[in-house]
Amino acid sequence: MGPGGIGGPPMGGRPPGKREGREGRPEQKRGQAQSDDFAEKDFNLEQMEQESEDMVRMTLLNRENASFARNSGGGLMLVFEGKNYADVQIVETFPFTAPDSYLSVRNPLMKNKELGMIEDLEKDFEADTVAVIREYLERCYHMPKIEKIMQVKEAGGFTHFTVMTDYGENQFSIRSNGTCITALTENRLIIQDLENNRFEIPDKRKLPAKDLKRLDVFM
Amino acid sequence: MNLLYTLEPGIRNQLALDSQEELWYCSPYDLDDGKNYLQNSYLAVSTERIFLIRCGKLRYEIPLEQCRDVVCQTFTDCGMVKVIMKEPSMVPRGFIPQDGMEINGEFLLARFTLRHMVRIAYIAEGASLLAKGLKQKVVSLEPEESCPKCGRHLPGTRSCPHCDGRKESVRKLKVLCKPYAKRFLLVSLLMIASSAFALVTPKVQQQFIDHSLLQGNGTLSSILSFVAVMLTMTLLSIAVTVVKNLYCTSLGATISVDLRQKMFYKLQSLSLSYVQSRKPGDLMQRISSDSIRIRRFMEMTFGRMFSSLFSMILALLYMFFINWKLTLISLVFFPLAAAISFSQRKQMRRRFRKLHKMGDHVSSQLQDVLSGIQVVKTYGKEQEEAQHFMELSKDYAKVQTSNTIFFNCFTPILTFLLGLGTYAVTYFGGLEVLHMDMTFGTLNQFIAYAAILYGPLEQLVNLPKSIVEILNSLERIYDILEEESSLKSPENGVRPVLTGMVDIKDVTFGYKAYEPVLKHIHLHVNPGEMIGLVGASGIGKSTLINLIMRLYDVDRGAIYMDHTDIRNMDLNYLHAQLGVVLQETFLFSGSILDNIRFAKPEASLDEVIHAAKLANAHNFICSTVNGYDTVIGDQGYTLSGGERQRLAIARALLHNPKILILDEATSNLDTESEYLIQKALERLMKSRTTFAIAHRLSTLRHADRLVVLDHYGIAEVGTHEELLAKKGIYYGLVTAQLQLFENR
Repeated sequence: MGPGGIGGPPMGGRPPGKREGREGRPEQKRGQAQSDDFAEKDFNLEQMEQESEDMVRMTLLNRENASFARNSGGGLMLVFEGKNYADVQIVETFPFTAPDSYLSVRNPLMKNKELGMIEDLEKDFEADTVAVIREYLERCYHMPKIEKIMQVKEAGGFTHFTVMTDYGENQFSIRSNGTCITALTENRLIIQDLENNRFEIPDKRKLPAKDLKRLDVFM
Repeated sequence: MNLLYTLEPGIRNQLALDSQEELWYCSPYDLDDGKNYLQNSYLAVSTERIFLIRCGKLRYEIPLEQCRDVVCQTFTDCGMVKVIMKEPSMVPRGFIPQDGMEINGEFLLARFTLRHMVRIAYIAEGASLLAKGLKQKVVSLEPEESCPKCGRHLPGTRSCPHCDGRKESVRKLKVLCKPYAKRFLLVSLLMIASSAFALVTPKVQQQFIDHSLLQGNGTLSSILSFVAVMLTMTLLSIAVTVVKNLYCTSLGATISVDLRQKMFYKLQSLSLSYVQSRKPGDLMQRISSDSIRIRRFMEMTFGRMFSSLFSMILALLYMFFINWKLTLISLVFFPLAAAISFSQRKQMRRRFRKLHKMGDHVSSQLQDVLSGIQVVKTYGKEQEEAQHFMELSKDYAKVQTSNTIFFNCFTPILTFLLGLGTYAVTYFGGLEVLHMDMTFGTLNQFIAYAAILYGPLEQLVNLPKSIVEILNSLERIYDILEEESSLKSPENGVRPVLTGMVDIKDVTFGYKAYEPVLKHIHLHVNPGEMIGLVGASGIGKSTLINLIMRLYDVDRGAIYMDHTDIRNMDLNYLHAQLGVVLQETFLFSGSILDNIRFAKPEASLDEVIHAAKLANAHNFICSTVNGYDTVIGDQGYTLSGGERQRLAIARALLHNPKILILDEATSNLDTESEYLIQKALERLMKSRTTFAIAHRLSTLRHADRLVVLDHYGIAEVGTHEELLAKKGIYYGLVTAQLQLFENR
């Protein structure tokens, strides 16, 4: 018998068919319950062609045709062009370069099909809707910003950080070889720890000089 | 992975569990609805209720009988647990936002970072089962990622190097060294001997200086005898050092080889789920680089540094013995010199790491551009790329220059400081000699010892780090060696005679227990039946087959062969009854003969040829360079896809299993190969119970029954004609293929 089982997960723990996410965990569809995968139902060629045409169009949502509100499940409900959507998802298409632009609004109940896009959050909606959407995004995207580096300890190839973030104090560990620090721009850094949590340093120049030196080791 | 954290009594009492209620799961969670980390907050599930404890206080309890389901969802860098109540009115007050609406009674219970993702996902599955009335506990076999006590990441070991301290590591060191105790003893004796030589030499010099040279009553013969003695001692010292190093190196190599062998063997015998729960690079590293580290430690650190350490201590003792006042004076600079050495090491490490990283950047940029040169040229970006590369190179050069300047300025200063001890000794010692309190020979001896004391200082600064590294490597190695395989052959496993009847009864399984891939699978297979498994990609066909082969154990339910649960069967016996032809034909490097005989090495050449003929492989084998003795694989003859398949079929035929597992290759072959393989497979499947993951219509048509998997279970069962008539999922799959084919 060959190794690895039949076609089954090759080394790395990937169940067959599920796309590889970080560190070998099955990548979840955003917002989907973990065990919510749809198999192909009746295959309809015409329907597939229609859908692929639909995907090309860019539908824009704004205060004229859409209204959002929070639902108890922590998601958003939407009324758009007369239709009610009990639960929609918003995806940041440019989380780093333009977090408020081109937010993709999707319907999880229909294979995450895109309902439309919000071109510019501040411009296209009233302040209260903007607040609701921002609160939703804050909930679904979790990226604490490091304000101060309190302690850095190195032991056995791993570096342990104690930091103060805008969420409070936290500790995390990274590998000492520094592969987990990404520079989005020269001064904006993202540190990904061993558990795949990410921490942002919005501007490394704003950190106290001592902290900066500690970080420099990894740059 | 621990799914039941222990709650402190203050919190546990708040739960007020009654006598029948058991707490089954408890995990910390760490995000609130706003922008705050939470401390001392837990999500707990008992057999009756779900509890939410926030900041040490019980905030909500939700009776499980009111819940329809509990789900765990992943978002970007965080996760959420949502509870779906049976009636929207049952949603607890606090969870309904002011202006929001309930959707189907669903509400967000808790939010958490990725630190607790896996754990809470398992717990959510457990709660979900309880909510549906199933009193089954979910267990996680995954290793802990961070230490539950201090929160530090666990470097692939089970005990935390920080919390459990060095006790465990020292124990492992003992286990490691025990079989080599005698050799270690020998090496230690050699170290003592070589140190002794280093220390005796100054004494001899002292004798010579004080009694022969200074008194003026030396003769030529005394000089000659001194030289002779020194020469002998030097030669002996060299001899001892060489022997010592030799022994150390050989000991290191032996230990390393031994460990590597043990690990390799152990890895083979551990269950598939263990190997797959670790990253492949991780395991390979343990076998290769962790054991190399141990060898290097023995060669360099153990041999030399411990020798030096030993000499230093002895030198110190001797110095005290000669003149304690002077010793104390010379020691004054010791802490300073050690601190400076240490900080130099740290600085250099930091600088080298930075340099290394920059070097990596430069070379990867270079590699990128060179391998993508076609793209660069097509878009006309040569100038920009050149500019970018120049900037990187400039930065790199800057760092190199700075490092070199640092090293060249620092080192002389350091050397001077390290020598301070000797200067102090020379001054104060000199004074004593001038005052006739000490002879010159003694002073000379003393200075020699001081040099021995300060000399290896620079090297020794590395010692703590080396020790930590080695203990770490040991831990990682013993993690494998001490692992108990979860999928074991039972003691007194039965070996029933099999006819090929298989019963799959109510089987549920997921690679991660909280995420089932197959649920409630029920199937009876008669001996000799050919079952075709059909379904969309990723639906679970390969998984089902892995379960039949007992490469994984089912989470719930059981699989029987001839009425014996496969978990009660001897594992090797079970595997001997199964034959496998996979999509990716895996052939070992070796001759064709070796490959065909893989499962039955004692088969006669006659049997091999017969199997090859049945598999339609004999002809192409005869056309190879050395026939059945042709070496195939990386270094040998390369076979085409179709030829490999047929070899695999020959292998399976020779094996003559009771149950055949077939995973059809999807690649398009030319018609002749197709036909040959088809025929070979037919012969293989004849009167043998076969489970085939089939893609070709021709195979499907031949199946006795087709099992269509969909949505985690069996959707349809029947023959090809029956299922087409049903116009269900199978019909859809077949017509889709035909439509796409036509459209081409």
